[in-house]
Amino acid sequence: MITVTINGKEIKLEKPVTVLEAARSAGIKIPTLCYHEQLEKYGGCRLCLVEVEKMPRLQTACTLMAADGMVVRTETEAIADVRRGVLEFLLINHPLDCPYCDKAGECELQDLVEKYGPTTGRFKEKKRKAPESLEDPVLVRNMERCVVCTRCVRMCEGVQGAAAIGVINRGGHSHVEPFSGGRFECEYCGNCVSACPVGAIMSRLHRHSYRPWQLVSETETICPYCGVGCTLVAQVRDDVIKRVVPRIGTPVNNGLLCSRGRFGYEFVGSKERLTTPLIKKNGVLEQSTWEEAIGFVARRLGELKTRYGGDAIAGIASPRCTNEDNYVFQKFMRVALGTNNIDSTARTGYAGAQAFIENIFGQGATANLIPGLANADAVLIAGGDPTAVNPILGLQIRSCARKGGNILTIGHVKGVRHYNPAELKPNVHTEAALLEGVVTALKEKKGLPGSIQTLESKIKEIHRPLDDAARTCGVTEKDLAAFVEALSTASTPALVIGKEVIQSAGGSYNLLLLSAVAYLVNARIHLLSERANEQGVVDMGCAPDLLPGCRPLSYVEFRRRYEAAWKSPIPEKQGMTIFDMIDAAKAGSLRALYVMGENPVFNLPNAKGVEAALRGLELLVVQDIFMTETARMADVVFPALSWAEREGTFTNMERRLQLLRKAVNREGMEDWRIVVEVAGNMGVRMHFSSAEDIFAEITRVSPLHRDLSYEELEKSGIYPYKGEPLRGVTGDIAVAKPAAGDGGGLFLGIERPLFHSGTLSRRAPGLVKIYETAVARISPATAAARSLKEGDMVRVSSVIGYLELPVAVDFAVRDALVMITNNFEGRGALSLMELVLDPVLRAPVADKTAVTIEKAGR
Amino acid sequence: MTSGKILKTVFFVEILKGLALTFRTLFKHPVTRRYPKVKVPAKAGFRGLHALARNAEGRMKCVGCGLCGAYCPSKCIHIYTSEGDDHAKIVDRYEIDVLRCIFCGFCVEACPFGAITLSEHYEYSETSRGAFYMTREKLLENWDKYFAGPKGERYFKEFWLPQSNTYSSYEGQAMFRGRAKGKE
Amino acid sequence: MEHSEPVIEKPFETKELTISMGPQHPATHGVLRLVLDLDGENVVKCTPYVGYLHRGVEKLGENRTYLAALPLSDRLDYISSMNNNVGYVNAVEKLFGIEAPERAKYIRTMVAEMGRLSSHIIWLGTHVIDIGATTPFLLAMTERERILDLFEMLCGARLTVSYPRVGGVRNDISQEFLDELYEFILEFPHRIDDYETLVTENRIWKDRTVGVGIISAKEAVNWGLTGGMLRGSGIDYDVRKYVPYDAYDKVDFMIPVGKDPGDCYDRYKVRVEEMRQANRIIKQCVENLPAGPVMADAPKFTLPPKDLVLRDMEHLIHQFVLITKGPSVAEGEVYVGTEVPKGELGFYFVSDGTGKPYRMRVRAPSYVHASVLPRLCKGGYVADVIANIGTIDIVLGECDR
Repeated sequence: MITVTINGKEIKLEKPVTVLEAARSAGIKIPTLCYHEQLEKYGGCRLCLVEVEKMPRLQTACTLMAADGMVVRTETEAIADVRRGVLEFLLINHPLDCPYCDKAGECELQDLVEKYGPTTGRFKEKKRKAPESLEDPVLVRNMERCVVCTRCVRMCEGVQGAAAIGVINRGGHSHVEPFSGGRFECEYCGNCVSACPVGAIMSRLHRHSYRPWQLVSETETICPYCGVGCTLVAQVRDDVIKRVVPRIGTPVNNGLLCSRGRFGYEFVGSKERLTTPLIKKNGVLEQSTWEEAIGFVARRLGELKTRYGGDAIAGIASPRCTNEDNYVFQKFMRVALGTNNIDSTARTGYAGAQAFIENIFGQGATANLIPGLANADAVLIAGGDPTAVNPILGLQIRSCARKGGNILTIGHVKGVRHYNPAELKPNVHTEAALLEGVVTALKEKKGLPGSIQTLESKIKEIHRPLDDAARTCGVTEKDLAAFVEALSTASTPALVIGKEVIQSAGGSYNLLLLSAVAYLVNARIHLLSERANEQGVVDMGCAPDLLPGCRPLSYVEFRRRYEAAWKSPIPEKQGMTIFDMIDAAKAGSLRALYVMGENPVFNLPNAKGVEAALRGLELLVVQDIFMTETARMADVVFPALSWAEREGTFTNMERRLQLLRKAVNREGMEDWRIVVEVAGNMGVRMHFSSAEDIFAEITRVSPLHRDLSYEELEKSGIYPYKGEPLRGVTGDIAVAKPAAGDGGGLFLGIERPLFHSGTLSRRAPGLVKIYETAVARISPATAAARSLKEGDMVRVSSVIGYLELPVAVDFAVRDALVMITNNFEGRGALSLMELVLDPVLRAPVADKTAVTIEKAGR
Repeated sequence: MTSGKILKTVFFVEILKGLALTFRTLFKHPVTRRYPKVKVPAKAGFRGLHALARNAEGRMKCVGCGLCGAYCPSKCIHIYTSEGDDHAKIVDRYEIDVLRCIFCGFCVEACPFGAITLSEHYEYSETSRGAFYMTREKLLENWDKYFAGPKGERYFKEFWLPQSNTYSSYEGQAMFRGRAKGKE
Repeated sequence: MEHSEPVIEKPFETKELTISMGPQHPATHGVLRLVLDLDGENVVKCTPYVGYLHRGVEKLGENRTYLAALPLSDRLDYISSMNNNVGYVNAVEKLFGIEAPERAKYIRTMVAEMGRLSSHIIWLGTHVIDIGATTPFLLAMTERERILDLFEMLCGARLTVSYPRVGGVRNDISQEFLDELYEFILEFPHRIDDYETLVTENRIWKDRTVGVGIISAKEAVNWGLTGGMLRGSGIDYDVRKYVPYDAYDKVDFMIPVGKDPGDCYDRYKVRVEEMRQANRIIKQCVENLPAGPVMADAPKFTLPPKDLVLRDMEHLIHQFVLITKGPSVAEGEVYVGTEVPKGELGFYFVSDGTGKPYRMRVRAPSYVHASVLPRLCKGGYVADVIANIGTIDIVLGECDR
């Protein structure tokens, strides 16, 4: 116990902290400028100087550790003088910009000067001049205003790990500049913007469009982009989201955001948003009324159900919609239409992989705390770049590396390249061989723990010596051995599994091998999730074989219980997966498809094929906020409300339930309300008047969400899963081994960039400015072999079709791959991809599409 | 009761005194004025209808810093700004809801540029609410109407406060110097 | 056929009649509503209902900075907004720990007394017109108009003046104003004589006010009465004398008192004498007005000079922070009472260290005085209710806040 006396107040400290933190814990205010609680201590601004007895000079409170018996004074005349002096110096060169500067009103320098600063200036000299830098698309730098507190630099380097900016020049001329020159060319996390105490680095998205005091409301809600579920605060003026900021102390992200979260909010106010329901008349979508559209859909669904039976109708739910939307939607499908034909795009990887892993380890195996990654001593990354797919999770991996943890990657992971990862780059389609080698070696080193017999029996079958593995995969044996060594000596390892490994050829076998690795070294598993509510859509029973709460449909007792709760029979027959639906539509056995907040024509492989299949439907209903590729084909389009305009809950990849709150108002209906109205018109009454009502029913019905309430969620996110195994281990682990690798040639790869995720981000101008258009990323070797250079237009063609794109040469791409994103309209990678399903995971295989690349126009 | 009091009571003395005063008033000039036929000009510095000042080049002085709206006790000033073509801040809309305004003149005190003013114009009754929603254009028009010429300059000299001489003593302050001439 | 009709002997009984007076009654001075239980002409019970003019001034004050909430005080007792402003700025100055310069104090005393005159003129006019005399009302309004003209000359507004500022006054007075004011105060005592000629000895007036609304000194204190209501019962309490603020300790004036117990007539006499005293105070203020600044040199609490704001970074920053966030104030609480025409107006602030009050409370004399109405009216006639409303000099803007 340390006792310090600050301003005559005795403060007892449990653990050693700085004098500043001790004072703040006791409610004593010490002004600071360069101090930021997320950053390393710096002691540069000299504003926090305090008097300490028996120390000859004033000390910086932010760097001075409190020692037992220390007597500190923070408010003396001498200190006030020093503070005044420091601030006077800072203002010598500060421009008279407050009327134009967007920071005025929330500027820390302003507040400090008002509280502690001088009242008149004594310097008559001219101020330094530096033009405002507007070269960057989303960030604006005004170095006249910079006070060189270096908070942005420390944030960029020490927290974000991007190390994109630094202080250049000396003395009065020092200022902050990106290493890349004018443009930042960085990860655009924008955390420097929230670190900057003055208006030196600011976002351009809302430049000059409001003043901080004009913001009417601040709403704490959840980011709509990826599965991490960061808490963000939407600041609103006149029902327009002006800015999105993080807040220190929130779960998961704690004051940090990524580029998507921070700069991707503008789609909410997009002019392209749908406003009225549309009905296709004579092949053209025409504006209609809500009554007409709802009546029409209800009537047509009713007719089709009577004529062909419920199984001729299917529904696609959405990992972008809330749990409430998805719950109501699956209930509508099961109760009103009498079919289990419901699925979502979580089927393209997440759902299958999670079911596979939970089948081995039990439910909740992937629900691990994201901040816990920072405390791991080794992180194995397989199948994707976590810093791009789930950036805030990626930051935790970087934090782990900074603390001395080993980063092990299979394939090149660009986001951690600065952290000296142990990197194995196997040849295309040889991941399984590599993992087999690792498992064999680990098995020998660590022995079998003996707790999960089914898995152990599989592990026993695996045998591939290291030298064989190394040879097959094209890595050196030394690297592989070191890799295994690092993994086997770790005591708290973590395993991060990305979609690339799930969607690889033989995905289920790779997952089995990864599970074996996790089992042998006792690693926590994190499954990367691309969509905000991918976990929730599965938990809500939007799957052909699951009821809400992940109860399998096939167990009669469970089904009976839901039937009793819903007062309606639930069909016994398992429904169709999303890919079955497309097949059935093609075959003509599916007559109607109801799509809620999803864009299958763009987000499923073989886009052309999907489009052709959907053309054969008698009724296609789409609920969306934009006119998507799918909506264009629809018979009826309902405009829904976006994420910021409604309440509900998201379940993140940790299975943390978090509350979405309404930030702006807009006319229209939430997805669930539209479904409830349609159901009502079909004679199935669902008595919900708010999202909270639905959640109340969910907590009554679903064992996973039992006894939860919005009130509890209001405080902070909570976990629905209470460790209760809901789905037993089935005893057998089905796997499909991959066929032998196809040698040579180029294969299509899906690029998952940091700045985009699907159809929302392409309507966010800020993100589009950062990453403007689709490119074909190839390795330098591939480029050299075909004498291509950066910017050349090429035609990338597969069996299905072709795309014409500019080339980007990227050293991070493997030689046999052409990486294309699936974000830009008409240029999606999935439009080239053949649809091949992994028989076990029922997820598409993404890396088997052979492509050719040639100069366009030849 | 004394006899004096009785007499006073019997002869309605106090009532007659009062009536005498009323009667005398009959011969005084009326103090009322026949508005609107006879108008009383507002005193200089009257806090009437708003106007947005123009600078010497005839452009609006306002840069959209928003201080007037922040200080406004009735929150009736709405400013919308955006980034212009040359990346400078431009004022798209400057609107005052006159029906909410309480004419305290705090906006004038808040403005660092001397862009918002209160004119001496007070007769602006209208029959619709919309007419009281002052847009940027209407406010600039008011400037041309009510502050034309040197009047505008004088306004800022005298009524744009506080000025640095407000804080220091200076010569020529209003002081009591006996009754004004001609009234003694 | 014979049947006996039951003979019902119903005794003659009188029922109490409950009537609602106001909130749209011309004699209730605004939107005061009184529910009267009447037994014939006698008032058995009188229940005032207030709140028809509630605007949440205290809550609004908590959402505005100390500097920007000043105009809210104008709208309390709108008859004498100048006095409310003076009360408000005195309270805030005490909280900030700053003091206005001497000249500003004299000016504030001067204009506050002008506010008192204008308020008492309204009180006199409406009180007598309620009771039946039109002439004094018309005469009184002439003088009030002159005071309002002076206010207009002073600060550009006639009713809601917002003239004093935290740390001084908005602007210095002009010579023209001072001369005009002096002319007015030389003449005004004659006008008071005129009112007295018309009213004081008038037998109808005396019949209606003497012995009406009697309240003893002890009771007056217990009811929390202040101002003319208290002094009318013979207690010589006046904030200006006992807790002097502004320049009241530098001027000579006396506190007129009535007798114990006091009635409406006593209070009338007290207030008329107060007008004469106010006139004296103004005269002394004008004659002794010192030279000097009119705003305190307290840059952390008062707006910086306009001509320097765009020249000096420090001034610009202070301009921005003082306006958008308000000055940084030490934590604590403060109560300051001032003597307004209606009684003691108190402002109570709790500061949490930010630029906006954590709590702003207004002790409104009209509210306290409205509470004594049942006591004054009980046992009297309906007609006396009117006299009682007039004598408490209620303004609902202040009462309901």
